[in-house]
Amino acid sequence: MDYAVAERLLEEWGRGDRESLDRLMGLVYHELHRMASGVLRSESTTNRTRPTSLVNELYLELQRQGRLETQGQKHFFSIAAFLMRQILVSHARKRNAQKRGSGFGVESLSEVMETGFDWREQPELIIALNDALARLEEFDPVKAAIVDMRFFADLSIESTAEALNLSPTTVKRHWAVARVWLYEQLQGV
Amino acid sequence: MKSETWRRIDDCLADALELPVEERRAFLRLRLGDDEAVLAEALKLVGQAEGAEKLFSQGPMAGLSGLAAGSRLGPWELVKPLGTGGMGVVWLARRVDGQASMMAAIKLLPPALSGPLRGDSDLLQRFLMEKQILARLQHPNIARLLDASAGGGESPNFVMEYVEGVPLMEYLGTGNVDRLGLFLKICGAVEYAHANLIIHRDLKPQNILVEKSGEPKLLDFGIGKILNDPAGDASITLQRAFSLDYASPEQIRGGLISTATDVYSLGLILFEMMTGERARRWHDKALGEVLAETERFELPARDGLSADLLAVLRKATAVEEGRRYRSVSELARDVARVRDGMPVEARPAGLLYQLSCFARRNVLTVAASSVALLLICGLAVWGFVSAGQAEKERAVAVEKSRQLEVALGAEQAARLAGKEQEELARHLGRIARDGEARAEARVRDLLKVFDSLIASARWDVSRLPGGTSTGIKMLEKALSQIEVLEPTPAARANFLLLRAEAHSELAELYGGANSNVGNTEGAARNQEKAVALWKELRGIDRKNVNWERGWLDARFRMARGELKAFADGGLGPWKSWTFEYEGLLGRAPKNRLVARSVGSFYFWRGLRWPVVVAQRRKDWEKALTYFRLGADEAGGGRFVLRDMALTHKYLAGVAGMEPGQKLQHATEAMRLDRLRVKQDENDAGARIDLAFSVGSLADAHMVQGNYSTAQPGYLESFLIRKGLAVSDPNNAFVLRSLLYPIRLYGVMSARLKDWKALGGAVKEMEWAAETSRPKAGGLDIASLNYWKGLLALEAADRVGACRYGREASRLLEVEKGKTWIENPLVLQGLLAACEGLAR
Repeated sequence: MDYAVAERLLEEWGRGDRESLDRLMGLVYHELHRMASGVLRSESTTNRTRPTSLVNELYLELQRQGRLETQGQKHFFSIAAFLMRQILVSHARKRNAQKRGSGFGVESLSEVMETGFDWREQPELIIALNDALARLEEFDPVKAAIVDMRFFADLSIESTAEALNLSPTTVKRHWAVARVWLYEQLQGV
Repeated sequence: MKSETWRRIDDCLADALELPVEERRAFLRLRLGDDEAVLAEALKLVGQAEGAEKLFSQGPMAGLSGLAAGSRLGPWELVKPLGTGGMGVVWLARRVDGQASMMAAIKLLPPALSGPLRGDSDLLQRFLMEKQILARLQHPNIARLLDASAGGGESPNFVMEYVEGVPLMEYLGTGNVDRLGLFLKICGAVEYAHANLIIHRDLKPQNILVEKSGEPKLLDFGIGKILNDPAGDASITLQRAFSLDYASPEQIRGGLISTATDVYSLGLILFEMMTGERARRWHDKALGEVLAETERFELPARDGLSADLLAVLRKATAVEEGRRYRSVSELARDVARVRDGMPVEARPAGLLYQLSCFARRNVLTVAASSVALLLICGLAVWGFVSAGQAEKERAVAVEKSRQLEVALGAEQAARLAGKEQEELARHLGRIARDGEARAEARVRDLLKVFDSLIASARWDVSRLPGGTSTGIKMLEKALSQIEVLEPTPAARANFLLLRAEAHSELAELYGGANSNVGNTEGAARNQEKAVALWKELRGIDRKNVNWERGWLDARFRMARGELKAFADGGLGPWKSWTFEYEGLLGRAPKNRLVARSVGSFYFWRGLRWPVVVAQRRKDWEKALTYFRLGADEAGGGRFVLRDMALTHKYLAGVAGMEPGQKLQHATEAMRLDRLRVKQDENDAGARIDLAFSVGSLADAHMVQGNYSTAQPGYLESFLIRKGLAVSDPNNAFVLRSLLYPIRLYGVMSARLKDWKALGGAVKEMEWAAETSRPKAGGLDIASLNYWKGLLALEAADRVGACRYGREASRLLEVEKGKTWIENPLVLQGLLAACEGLAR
């Protein structure tokens, strides 16, 4: 796991000292991984009775356990969203190893999207997206963070804005540009 | 990518993407025309917008992190999410199981809760019990809880009445709103819940919606309790189920919750309503900090707040619970005083404080005339300060004025008296006029509130299962509060009328036909009061037919318990009652209320004067005629329907009536009762009545030997009673009546040799035998054994059959001396069959 990136995300987190941050990251990763793999393993999408996103859920759970007493919700969301991406990418890598060979062209991407598209069925696309995000992070880390939160952690515009100390309008603008840029990058996959 | 280049593209692209698709390219050319390379890049990107939006519309976790519109949840289909809160997501839902189309708001809790609820059946039990209590909360300003479920693998959820309204603070922004009036309505709702022993625990403006009509609706009542039961397993406490910004100190400390908790939150809400400013923003503070601040938090003074209102707010939000208002009604009363410009309780100086202000302004004037003080004190009494309090304050005021006189010297006072006295007279005159107008308005207000109390005790509360005692409590409390008032002459008649009606209503609630309380002493006490009040009212104006009617009804109601048949067949006291009622009818032959009263009289005469059966039948038929005359009375329809149904029921039971006519009456009674239940499903009284009319129709069929028609009737009658007994385990009336229909259902099933039904009857009878109060007697147990015997026989278990048969005949032997048996046929049949079995 890339702690350096996470740290950059969390620079504003004045209160958290290094050690407790490490511990929290470990904990959050572990919990998110446990929850996500449970969800990812189940193929059935018909029984969707989760009222809130996994990240929200974990936040509530940790708060219940008394492990998040002094840290605010927003910092938690930043970490969790970043970790969520790591989890999904590593899951995609594993799946991709199992089903090699089905590449993606420009046409097939549009075609698949016409007929209903599920990211969980496209591990190679998630990997490509992760690579593109790494490049985006180089020159626009805020957008990358927004993508983590909106896309991987499924957080609302409002939660994202609050977590990053931005206005919702700004988040919307970043998110719109990030999407077209990433889409462009994925065309070649 | 170079950062300057990217920043340029980023900026323009973001702007462009906010434009309609067809304008984007032109916009980019305009902005980036000076740099070919950058423009090309931007144009390439902007062309991807549509695809990008689609591709990223649903992340990999999206499908799994929320319910989709169209999902089913029990009988509900989710329509769209209404919002998210700390405790979960709220969805708008539509009922899709073929029942009447209905919308609801469903609150889904985090699934983390379903674990503990699934694993621990105790916890689940408590959840369901609490749900039942909440479902009984019925108040126009409280969003009803329609259902709640947990366990079974799905998220715990609450199905609530869907309220179309805007959040409180938003509503206040829409224009001129009577803020205090609105707040008082909110208080009324919380008060009602408290009377039902339910504390909200999370009152905040976001939990209060205001409908188009201006009526507030409180959401999420008591859900905090379900989620955060201090007596319960700590593992269910998912997170604090309250918002820090409105929480009371004891909540933050984790102390005991009481009604004072809601009083505190209401104080903060009123502050926000009046100032537009949230009293505190603590939700992102560290807990330690919050804990420290909560102990010293005091509402700040603000321009929009009068000193009185601030005092009220501070009293409501005192850190120590003991220093707050003892109840929401006390808070509401003080807020109403602020609105009416009356002295408030929150400032203990009260009237004296005002007097001293007045005295400070007019030291000499006051000193010159202690009469002034007395006058003002008199106004206080007039203005409905409670009598005791006014007395105390008057004494203090008189003492104070005496001291002033002594201090100033009588001589000096007299010297200054001339001119000042004149001004004083003018001043007092104004106060007196204002005072009178205000007092009038206050009486009118009070009476209005009281009137609606009577109405709600009658319908909203007492018709609910278990609501009668709540209704009695509400009415008695209200009565004790207004009885100390001295109304102005103009308001006096109204005042008397309402009290008279309230006492009549109380008498009914205590011991009326539909009462489940059965307290004859309470009934008699209230009847006496009602008679006295009606009499006083009648004294005001003898020409008022309605008051005359009220008086007559009240007297008759008191007397009718004693009136009986007379051995000589003569009318006796019935003669004078008949004379009075006919006289009243003669005075107002078209008055519907009078017609109903006369109908009611004939109904009772038929019931209590049963010398000649033909006479009884005539009386009841007469009663029906008058009820029909009174039936269109607006608002009285439901009562008339009830009375008519009852009369038909009795007519169906009159001896000597032709069977066809009996059936007709019984059927009509059932039709009317069904209509009543349909009009209001929550009307427990109507459901009881329906149980009885279905039962007596079954009786009529049984007597004619139509067992197969009677059988399902008895079952329905029993099931209605069972439903009521389950939802209201204290309802003496229902508990008393459980056994009859199920026994008859068993008898019918036995005669029809419907063994499957008899098996069901045995099961239900065993339940009813245990549940009914008094518990089942020998005859019922004998029946039970007899049926079991029959069933055993049918199953070729001869030994069992004989054992049950012997037990049945033993019990019947014991019961033999009893003459009270609904149907001797049953007994004979039992005995014969048991003898057969025993042999």
